[in-house]
Amino acid sequence: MTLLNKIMYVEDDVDIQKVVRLSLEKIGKFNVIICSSGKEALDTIPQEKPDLILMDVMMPDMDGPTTFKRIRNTPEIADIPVVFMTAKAQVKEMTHYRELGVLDVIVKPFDPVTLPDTVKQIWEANHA
Amino acid sequence: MLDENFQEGFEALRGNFALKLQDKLADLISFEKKLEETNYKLEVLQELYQIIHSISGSSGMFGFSEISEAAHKLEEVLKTVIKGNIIIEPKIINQIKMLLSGLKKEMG
Repeated sequence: MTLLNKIMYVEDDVDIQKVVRLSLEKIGKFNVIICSSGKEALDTIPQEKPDLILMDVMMPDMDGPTTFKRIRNTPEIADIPVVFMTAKAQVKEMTHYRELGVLDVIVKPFDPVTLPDTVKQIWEANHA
Repeated sequence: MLDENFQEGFEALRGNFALKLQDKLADLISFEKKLEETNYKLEVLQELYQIIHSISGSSGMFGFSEISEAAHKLEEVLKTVIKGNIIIEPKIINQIKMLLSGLKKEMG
């Protein structure tokens, strides 16, 4: 199984960025890169090449689905798996996100204590 | 056992966020005036939606579940209005006012 080490988190909310970094670094022992926008992520992904991208759906300027489509349309980074993080959504919206081709969807707010395990489970379920 | 560094770090971030909530509440009170002045214009409701979405997500993450829930209820109504599924009529404006009032109460 491919090991999960470097995770990029794309989120515009500074408070949530800090909690997620703390959780993934201190509990999950992952190497974490934070980007504050879809544009910053698209600029950073080619050089950082994260194993996994966690991405907020609702961001100003370029939202999660738009950023995700751009990633998929950029051959050198197109294969990097993406997990959406979204506020409680209707079933229709969740289905739509999954149909776009993301690995999974994590619903916010989530417990920062269990987040690393959730991420590991999603990774293992798709990389067994 | 939970990482001590995580626990300490989280408590510090939570304390900082609790202080910020008072600023966010003050911002909401100012924003209410803007809503009244613009007669709940769609563009202003979109701005409010961004603010409420942020409060809902971040407060839930720090364990302020009552605030997060109150914000989420308002967020859902605003989302429906913005998507154009509800006309901005007095009944909806009253609902937004009521939910905003409930949220402020939780934050106060």
